[in-house]
Amino acid sequence: MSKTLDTPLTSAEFAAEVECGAPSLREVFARHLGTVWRIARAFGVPADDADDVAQEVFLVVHRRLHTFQPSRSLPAWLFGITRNVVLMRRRAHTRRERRLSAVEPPLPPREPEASFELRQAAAFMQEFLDGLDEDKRMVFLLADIEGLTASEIAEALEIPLGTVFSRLRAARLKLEQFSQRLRARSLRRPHDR
Amino acid sequence: MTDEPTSRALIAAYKACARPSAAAEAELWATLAAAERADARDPGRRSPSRAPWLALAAGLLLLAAWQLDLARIFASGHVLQDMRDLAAYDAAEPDPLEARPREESAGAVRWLETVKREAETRASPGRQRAAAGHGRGSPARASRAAADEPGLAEGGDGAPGADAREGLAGDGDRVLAEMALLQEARAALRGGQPETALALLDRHAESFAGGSMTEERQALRVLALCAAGEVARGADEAAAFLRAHPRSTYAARVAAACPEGHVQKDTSEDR
Repeated sequence: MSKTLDTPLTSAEFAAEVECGAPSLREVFARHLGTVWRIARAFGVPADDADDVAQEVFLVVHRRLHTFQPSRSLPAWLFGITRNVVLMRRRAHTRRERRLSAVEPPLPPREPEASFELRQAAAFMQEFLDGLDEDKRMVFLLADIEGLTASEIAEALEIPLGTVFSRLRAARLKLEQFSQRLRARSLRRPHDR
Repeated sequence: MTDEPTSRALIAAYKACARPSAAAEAELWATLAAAERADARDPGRRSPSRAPWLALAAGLLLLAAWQLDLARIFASGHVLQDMRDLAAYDAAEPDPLEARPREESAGAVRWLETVKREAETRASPGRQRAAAGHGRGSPARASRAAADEPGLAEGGDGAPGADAREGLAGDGDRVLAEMALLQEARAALRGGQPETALALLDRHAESFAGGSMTEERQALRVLALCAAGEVARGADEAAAFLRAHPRSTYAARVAAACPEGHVQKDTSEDR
């Protein structure tokens, strides 16, 4: 499982980097805000509500960071908090939140500073993720987007390593097919004009 | 990039765009930093969980009871059961760190389906046609239309004439009008206009004094007060909100809204 340049560090790497036992809230926030936000989205939280989920997650992190054990995976720990915040919101909000979401105004465009091509590519990726079932989506997100190791994913999702690999293989295959369809679409486009 | 979209390019674009906006990130950090500062001033705010202490106390009591040969008395009475119940209650408290995912209960799903069916039955034929024609977006449009309707947005009680005119009478429409007004306030707050949000919330309080979304209004009001810089009032109202709704889903956000005001909140994570 390859790691990208801005891959989140494992807890051990993180501790080594900051040369102390536990990372500070600022460091965790700066490195993992995007990850937490995307995990919330992968659980089906709308983009506009993902900011609120991220805030609740980091408030929990703020209260509980002193209980984090450096021997554990930091991204896996954050995944667990995010999952539980999302589940608690789902249970607690029920009718009220569903009704509120029914009148949610159209979302303002996110990151307007990003180029059109970049936003379009991100939208394609979101479309692909939305089309995956949740099991494969989570493994794919954590592995190929967030850069967690297979054992960290197994810890976060509480599944065997073999299952991590099989789900990842299946998700990558689907992404390849999705990319081919996009390429075919973009090749057809000039003739359509 | 889109001419030759590769998997890697898609992932890179997604990582770049799928995250909070720079403004939202700054706002999130400001909240956390304020919470950190408040904690630094008042370290006692982080109260440890009661569960380990209860377990320890129960263990010591049992040990003492065994040593004094009182176990028989405890076991035959209600004391031991009470202790077990207390420990079970404490363990059952939701904890974002320890809770495990659980499927939505079948009962909840059935309840939601029933609510949906009831709503569809109550809806007028015209609205049903609109819903069929516009899909998921139509309730939003309907509610915004309701908010634009003066009789509903301002009066809430809805003059009989207005009800007959638009076919928007009934509890469901009152709720929609309530939601639309709250949604406006929420949008104003998110748009950096807390004063506008407060005015809209005042209007909501007048129009829907006994409405079904008082809790949402009060929570939004705390957030708006804090955002408007009225920290003392915000903290007072936050404390009142947390006393009235200690298990509210908005409790964490309300407690964090005015950290400068020292809102005391024992959130569910700490119980």
